[in-house]
Amino acid sequence: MRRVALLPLRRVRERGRLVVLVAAAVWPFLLDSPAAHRRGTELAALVLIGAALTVTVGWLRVLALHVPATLAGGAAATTAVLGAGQSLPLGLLTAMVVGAVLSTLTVAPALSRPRVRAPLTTLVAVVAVWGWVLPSVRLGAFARPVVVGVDLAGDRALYLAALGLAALGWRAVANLHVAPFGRRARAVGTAPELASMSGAEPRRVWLSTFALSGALGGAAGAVLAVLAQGMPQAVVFSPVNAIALLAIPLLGGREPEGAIVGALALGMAPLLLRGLPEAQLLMATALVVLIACTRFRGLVDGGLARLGRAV
Amino acid sequence: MLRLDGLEDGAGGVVHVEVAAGAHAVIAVGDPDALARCVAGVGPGHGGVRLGESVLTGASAARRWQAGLAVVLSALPEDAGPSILDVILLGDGSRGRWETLAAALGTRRAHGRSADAEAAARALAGRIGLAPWLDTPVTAAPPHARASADLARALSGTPKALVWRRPEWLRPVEIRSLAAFVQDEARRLGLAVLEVREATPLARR
Repeated sequence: MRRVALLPLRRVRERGRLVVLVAAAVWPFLLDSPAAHRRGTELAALVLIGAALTVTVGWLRVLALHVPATLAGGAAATTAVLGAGQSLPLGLLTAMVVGAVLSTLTVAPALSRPRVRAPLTTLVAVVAVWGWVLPSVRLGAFARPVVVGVDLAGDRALYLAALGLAALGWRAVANLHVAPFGRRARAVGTAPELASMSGAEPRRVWLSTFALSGALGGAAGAVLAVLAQGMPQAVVFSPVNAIALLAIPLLGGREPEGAIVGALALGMAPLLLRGLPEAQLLMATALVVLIACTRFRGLVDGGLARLGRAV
Repeated sequence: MLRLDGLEDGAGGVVHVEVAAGAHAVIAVGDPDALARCVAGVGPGHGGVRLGESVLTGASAARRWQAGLAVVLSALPEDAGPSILDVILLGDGSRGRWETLAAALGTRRAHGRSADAEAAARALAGRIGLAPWLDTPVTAAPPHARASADLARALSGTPKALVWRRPEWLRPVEIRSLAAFVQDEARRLGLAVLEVREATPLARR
């Protein structure tokens, strides 16, 4: 007997997802204040960070702590390039390349047993960058540049540019998720033997996936540098922040949409808990501990998917 | 031609076998899984593997696959992929870094290739009887669907030789159906097929 749906529920779910994404993108325009636009720019950077963590934590199933190091590399490269009077596209490209190289270097020593050693090598890299490299680097401030006739001095214009960059980065990850590259990376993460027997070179997959993640992290660092008109506060690159950022993929899940859901949930926390110092850090760390103690699979591929089936 | 020289079968035996292109050979060994894994390059063991002009002795599993040697263990790990279709598409190989860049950018050509690969995987799944299971998570798929998916994964990479571990834990009717499919595909594609069975205790004595 053919089942007749009273409501086109699949379409409702897809439209619902679209409504959430559009609402997440346009709320700074509704509030229309510089503070809202700055917060929106930070959220766009968090989406890029979420995408960077989706490909490592989500695809390769590894506790990767490298993102603050790639953020620092990206921010420093952008600050140096823009401080030297060069263009923003060149700064962004440099930030992505520096992020990719740094990220690859953090995982390269762990390739013999990456799942066990990568958490340690990435943590060592973050501690080294935060504790030794950054304090010795002196980079000045710069004025926000003009890109293709658009002056990024205004917070609104910067938010739009950051939103566009976050959309591009997320879309690239979503495209790769269903391409042979993403399929093999996920297989290397969950069934490495089967992946090898299907033509994937695990070492190459680990390196290229970390390079992609580093490029996204570098782009997020560039956004934060342009927002701060120089190097952001050092706490952004701290090892504690590396653990807190893990809340994004753990909360969001392995699907690309999880990067947006996790970034929004983590990024909105200070708005909800305004007045609490370090609210975002506290909430994120608590979430990481909570998720580690449960079998939660993430909102998108766990909770939301189950909810969708129930509907 | 597929040639195995002195491969250990995991139960103390040594295998020497040659299979010509388009031929279907059957061997019974003490531990078929160990032999299949050894041929694939993911298990321990020594011995020579040669496919046509390519000497694959000591080569990595990925290199063996790229040379055209597909090995089917007929069982999938619990977490092999989100769906049976994903497992089949795993055999659809990488096409170089520029294709990966095109896929990331979402070009029309990349979309076209992706759609072609999915259509080919669905057609293959239809021939092997996997169509009802394509969107099922691997964890929820029954053993015969997993065995078929592993076979379809191997065939989606257009191999030159196939080493098929006969899934003896399935019902006889399911095994017969898979064996007939393997023979049809071997004939159609001109594959060298080596079917690895488990030797009964009597035969081993």
